[in-house]
Amino acid sequence: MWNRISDPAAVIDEDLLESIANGNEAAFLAVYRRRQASIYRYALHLCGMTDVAADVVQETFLALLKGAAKLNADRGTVLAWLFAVARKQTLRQMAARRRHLSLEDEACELPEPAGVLDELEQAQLLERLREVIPTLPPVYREVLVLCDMQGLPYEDVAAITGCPIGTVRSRLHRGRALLAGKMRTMVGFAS
Amino acid sequence: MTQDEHRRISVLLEKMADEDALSAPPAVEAALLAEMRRRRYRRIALWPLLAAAAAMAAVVWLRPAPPAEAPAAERAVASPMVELPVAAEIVLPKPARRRVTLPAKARPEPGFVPVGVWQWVEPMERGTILRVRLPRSAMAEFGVAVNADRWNETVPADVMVAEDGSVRAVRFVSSGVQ
Repeated sequence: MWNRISDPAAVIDEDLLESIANGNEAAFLAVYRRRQASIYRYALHLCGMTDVAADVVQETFLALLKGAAKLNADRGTVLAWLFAVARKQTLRQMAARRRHLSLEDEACELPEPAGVLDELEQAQLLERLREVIPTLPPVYREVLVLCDMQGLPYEDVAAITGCPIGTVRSRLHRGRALLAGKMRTMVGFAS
Repeated sequence: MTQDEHRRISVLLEKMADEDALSAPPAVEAALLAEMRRRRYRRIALWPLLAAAAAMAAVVWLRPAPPAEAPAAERAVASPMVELPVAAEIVLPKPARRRVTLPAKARPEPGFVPVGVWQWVEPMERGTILRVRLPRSAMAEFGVAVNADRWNETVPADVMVAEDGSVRAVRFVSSGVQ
């Protein structure tokens, strides 16, 4: 099939799996260039280290090279599979560096972020957001990155994180609330 | 936290993701491509080895079983039947056997038959061969079949006599043996 693909960039990931399994570089590059930034961003937001994030991207797409033949597109999207691999790789890389990355639910006190977002300009908001995100517990950071930044559906996020959809929703809710609260705190500091 | 704030946080995060030009270093792509080419080369290089191994396995599989094994009928049941094309059958030429028939006159005389082996303790250096006529009944003593009707007839024979006078061997002349 891979010989018949004239423009792999125009083909969806799932239809390129067979070509990748057959060693088609163009098909692999199409998926890589389309998805590497998302995987890198996800890993970077989880661990906060660029070298780890780069390693995670490499290991994730290496897994795609090895496992493309066995991937079943009917069981989920390639992107969700890549995120799931990246998640495991991030945890492994962090463990190798003796840094604990907790992706389990934690008890967090939710602040009251009323009216915070109205007080800041959008540029300022984005700047504050970049500062605040790394301070969130990883378990909430993860769903914020997957759901809000990557735009993945809850079903995919649930599959990636290995928890029920309800848990994804609640983590997302708490994550956003924590984020807003921290931003309010920063604003308070700023003012 | 209101639903509106949830939505705004979500939009902000999405916008931040769009603005952040985060991507893996180019070295990652290069390393992955190198790995892909290495794997493909290894797969290509592996094919001749696999083909050779398959050919060897086929030769071993198709080799005829040794005759000491189970009967052919049982073997046919136990192992899959493989039919070779007729052209593949190799028939070696049988070695030519030439029957040489010598004329009666050129036929060699029977050899000497030793007589009284116990007397051969002393090796014979010289001796004499005497042509004599012996009764056919004497032939029976040397294992030659004798016609009972001609029992009393005589046949020519060569007798080997040693220098000490002892008879060492006898040879019946074929023309006389019937």
